[in-house]
Amino acid sequence: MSIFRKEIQSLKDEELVKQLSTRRSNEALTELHARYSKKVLGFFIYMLKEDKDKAHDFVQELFMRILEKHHQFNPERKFSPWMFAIASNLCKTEFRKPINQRISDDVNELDEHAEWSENNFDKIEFRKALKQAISSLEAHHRETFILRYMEELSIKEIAVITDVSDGTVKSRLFYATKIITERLKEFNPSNEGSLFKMN
Amino acid sequence: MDKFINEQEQQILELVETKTFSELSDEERILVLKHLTQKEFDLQHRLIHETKSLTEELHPKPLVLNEKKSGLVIPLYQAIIGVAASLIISFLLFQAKQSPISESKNVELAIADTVYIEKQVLDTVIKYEYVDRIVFVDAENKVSENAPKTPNQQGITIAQPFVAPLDELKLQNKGLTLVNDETYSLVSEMNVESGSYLLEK
Repeated sequence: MSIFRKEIQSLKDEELVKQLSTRRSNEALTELHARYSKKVLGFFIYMLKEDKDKAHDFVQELFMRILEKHHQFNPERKFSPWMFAIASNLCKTEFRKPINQRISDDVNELDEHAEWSENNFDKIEFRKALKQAISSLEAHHRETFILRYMEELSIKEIAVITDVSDGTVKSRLFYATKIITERLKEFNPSNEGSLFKMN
Repeated sequence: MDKFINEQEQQILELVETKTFSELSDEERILVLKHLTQKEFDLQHRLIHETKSLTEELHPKPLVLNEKKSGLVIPLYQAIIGVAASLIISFLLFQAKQSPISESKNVELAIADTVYIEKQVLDTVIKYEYVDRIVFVDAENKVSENAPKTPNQQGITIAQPFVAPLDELKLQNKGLTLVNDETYSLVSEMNVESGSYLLEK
């Protein structure tokens, strides 16, 4: 059993996807889950505005979708962008639901809990503020920012996943970073005037 | 609608992602300082790198494999090939059954020094043969192969003709008519040939 496990662990993501159509589909899927569950959980948590229970459910749902749709995967391409494209679609489907059927979309609610007055560089406080700032972004900015800086995907991969041009991805990244920086400006010890001199 | 960013903004974005302010070259610092302060640049760099580590503290739940979903999924083309193969095999088997036995008579089934052949030998043979026979049916519908026996064979004694002792009879004729003749009772049974009378009892 451990031999199979080692063998599975040595396979690339794309080879694991091929294994999903064999008898070893469970092992292959478990290995993919081990590799990516943290990343996709982070993606879902911030896309779903820190609704952790729902994010865990979405991770489970994502891997079931991967198992169902593995034959649609092009093995000449990378696995992670394909997986995040499915994850992104899951979130879009969630956002299309009526508000009373989904999580709270009230950004101000998050701001109320933010401890912006804690003007210090304490790492925990900074991370807490950062999470809230990410969650308060508009969906398209949030998705682009998470895919780039949390999931570390390339500009081109994000462009494919979100179905926009490379330039749009860069623009979204620039403005998302700008907005978050504005929200975290209390953590800037200089706290000098406007954060950005450019428009 | 997303605004497109200019070339300098794109360069700053790349620098923020990759370097701290202290790692910038002189040219890059001049470019950055046109738009941001050093602290602002470092804050952006920090939040980007802090974002990367946000997933580290997450603890995903183990994957629950739904047996129904995680079962082997057979693509449609494989199912079609399977059905076609089954049909072909069935057809070939059917054809093999249809082929005449004589063709397989000369086929050597096995190479062996001893061959046991099981043969069923019958110790009793029943042969049916039709024979014409005469059958007698008596008055009581009893069927018999033998001809009916004569009375003598059956042990029956046939009554002997009764010869009336006419000599001993003293019958008187009391008139002219036959009615008056006492011998009239003998007339109907009279045996003409023998001249004797048969009396029924």
